Amino acid sequence: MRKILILFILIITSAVSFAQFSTVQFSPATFTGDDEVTFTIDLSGTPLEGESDVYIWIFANDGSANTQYPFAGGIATNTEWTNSPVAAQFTNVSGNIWSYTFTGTELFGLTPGQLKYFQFLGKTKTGNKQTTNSPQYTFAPISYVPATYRLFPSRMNQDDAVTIFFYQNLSSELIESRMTPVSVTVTMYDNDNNSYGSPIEFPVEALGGKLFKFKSFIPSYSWNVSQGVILSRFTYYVNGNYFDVNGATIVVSAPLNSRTFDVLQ
Amino acid sequence: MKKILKITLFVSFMALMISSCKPDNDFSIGQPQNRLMQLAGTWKLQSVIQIDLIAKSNNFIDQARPDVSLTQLDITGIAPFTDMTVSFANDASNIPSTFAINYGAAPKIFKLTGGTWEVDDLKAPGNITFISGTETVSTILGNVNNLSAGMLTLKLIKSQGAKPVIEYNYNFIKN
Repeated sequence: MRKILILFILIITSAVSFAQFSTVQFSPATFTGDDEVTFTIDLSGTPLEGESDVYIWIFANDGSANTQYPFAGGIATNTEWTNSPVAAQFTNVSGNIWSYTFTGTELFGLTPGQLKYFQFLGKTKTGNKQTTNSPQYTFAPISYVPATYRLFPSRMNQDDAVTIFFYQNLSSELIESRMTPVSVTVTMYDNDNNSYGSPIEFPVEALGGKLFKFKSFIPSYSWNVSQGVILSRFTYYVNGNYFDVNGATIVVSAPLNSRTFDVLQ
Repeated sequence: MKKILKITLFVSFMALMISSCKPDNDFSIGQPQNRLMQLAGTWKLQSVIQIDLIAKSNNFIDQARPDVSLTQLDITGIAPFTDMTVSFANDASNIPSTFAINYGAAPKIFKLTGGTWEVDDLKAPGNITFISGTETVSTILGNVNNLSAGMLTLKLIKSQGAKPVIEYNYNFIKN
């Protein structure tokens, strides 16, 4: 009974945390530890709704067991819980929407290679009100980290050639790891998060050793994007052949992935 | 005696050789290459290389698959890039004047189709800028020594803020 209660509390806490930070947006969308990054958050519905001054308490690598990523609090921000400094102050965008800008290496005093993720919470100057801890937000690695999917290049907008690589040997998902890849289906979304045009399937090219790449595409060219239309992101999933219980070939799809476009000049 | 004679003859010979050496005061290095004249004309796009500058600067390598580059890709075949031609014209004083781009079915990589062009240095150009009204596209002139052989490389850099993140190398040959 006690274990069920603890589990219930954890689930509720996670749900509340997710809801409080569901509006967080980053610019740029992908950033390394030495990039200047700005994020915005809508504090409506949180304990800080309506506050005229909001401050940050920010920390990196909390809970990481890897000594390559040591824990670090914001040097200029996490000085005194009951009297947050100016350096910790959010900038009001409008209403309950606030923004904060920082560079990881400067804020935490760590090298880009030591920064894996960060979290933050919002608070009043005295700390009498606060949000919960945010989810972990990941710094882009400065050394290659193998993953099931690799998008080339690491930064892109709608006018760049995009290539999707699929490292099937790194997948732990049952269907994804066992299917014979055939194609990838890509769907584009505009700035209002509406799908743009129709999804397009791009064929696979096997590179051997369970590594696959799909035909490269230029979003604005392949989707014939009209002048002035800005695409915000795209989703993709791999399609492949598998077998049903009777041994007949069936077509299956791997889990969906999403990628937000970067703002590039 | 014979030995002394041989040594004397050798030393005399060397003295004669050294004294006959005169400094060559001809420092001419030939005519300078006229890069603007070499640029003038029509160029046809042959290949496009895409480079991830973040991966390149951090020397990304996949130890498990060193045969698969993490830093650059040849993307020539993903669209009809080779449809594209660029024409440069100079005025009567050999100063850059107008350009024209015919994309055919190729992606509009330089966005512009015609206008004026400029270089940063008339004798040793390093950058070429395409101008149409208020719109400009800046490129870096690569491998200038290949111009005389009818090969042109224009590099386009895209940045995230102030940080260069992607480089495109567009390789042309003279039409």
